[in-house]
Amino acid sequence: MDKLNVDIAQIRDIIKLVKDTGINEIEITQGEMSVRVRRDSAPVLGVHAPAEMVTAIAAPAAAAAPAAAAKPEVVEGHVITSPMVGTLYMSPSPESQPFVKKGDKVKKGQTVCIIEAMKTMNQIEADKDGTVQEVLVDNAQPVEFGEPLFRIA
Amino acid sequence: MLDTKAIAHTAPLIYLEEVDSTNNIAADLGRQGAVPFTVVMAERQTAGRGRHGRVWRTFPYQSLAMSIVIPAVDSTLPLVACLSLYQACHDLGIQNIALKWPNDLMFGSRKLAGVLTESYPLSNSTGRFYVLGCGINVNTPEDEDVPEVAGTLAMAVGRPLAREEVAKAFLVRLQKNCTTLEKHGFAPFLTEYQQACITLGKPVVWKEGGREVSGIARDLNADGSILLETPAGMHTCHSGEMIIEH
Repeated sequence: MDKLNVDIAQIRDIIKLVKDTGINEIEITQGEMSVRVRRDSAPVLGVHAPAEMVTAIAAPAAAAAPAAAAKPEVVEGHVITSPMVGTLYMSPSPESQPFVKKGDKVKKGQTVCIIEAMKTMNQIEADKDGTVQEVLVDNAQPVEFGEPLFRIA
Repeated sequence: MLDTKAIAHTAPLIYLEEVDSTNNIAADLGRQGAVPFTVVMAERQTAGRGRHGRVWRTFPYQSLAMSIVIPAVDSTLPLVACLSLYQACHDLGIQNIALKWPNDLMFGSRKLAGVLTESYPLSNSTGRFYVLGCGINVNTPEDEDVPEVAGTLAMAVGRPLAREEVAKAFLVRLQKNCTTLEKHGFAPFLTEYQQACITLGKPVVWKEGGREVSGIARDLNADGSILLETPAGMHTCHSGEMIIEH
């Protein structure tokens, strides 16, 4: 029997994705092999090889993510700056609410605005946890590289 | 259902029945360090989006909605992606189509496909990666009205097409073109894009942020921007929206 070329780390990532996003079933095809992950009471992973071999592997025990205690942000006045030249949008569409406004709590990795540059919508994310103290730009405004966008603390 | 094996994609391909937006899943995968050119496809998107937050409607089992994780290559990726789609259609014998700058595939005044490119920061470095979202109207639904502004590849070619065939042709072109783009930039694509682009030579209104400028789209620059001739002189348009005046 041919050895299956399965990247377990990648499969773990897929299982995590299924858990995190609430998708019920996901099928990934690579060359002649496909992987299907279905969300059951205990997630089961099926791996198909060309010869219709099906292996069931119990999902790895979910590594309990250490619930990082929210540390109070001590740095005052951290400024999120623009990583590029472009046009800044404060909301995903003209009709919708802004991603963030003054007084909002933001988490590292949360989208705070979009900068459109060369037809690409660049998601700009908070690089720290904190509370928005000041919004330093206007919607639909052109921004330069390094221009201050938000002050959080 | 799609026969995902028939697409014979060389990177992982994830096929879902329903999702909020394939771009969201692809972005999550990209943050986790997905293999370049990992594809996420779905039959239904509950929050499929176009540029500037517009809703992108997918016809289940007739259209293709897919997002592709691509490493940072070049800022002209959105144009090259759209050109890849144009070339893939030609490969399948669909000839009477054109590109509308920057990222639409047209059949006359009907839009057949659109590309939404987003970029996200990598979680463990200062770099960014792209998520290329493509909505392609392949076959004409029998039980739903297609709006006048929209069209399907089947309308353009006069016969139904296998969606797998379309996806395969596009992904093959896209991967090949991304390799060229990384090595040589946009220059190898410039002439073909210019020839395929219906925007050039037309009176247009360009909208960016809060401003609107009218003029004639004169040329496509080597960096993918459009040179707009206005009463106040020449203006270079890098982003925003360009509406062709009829």
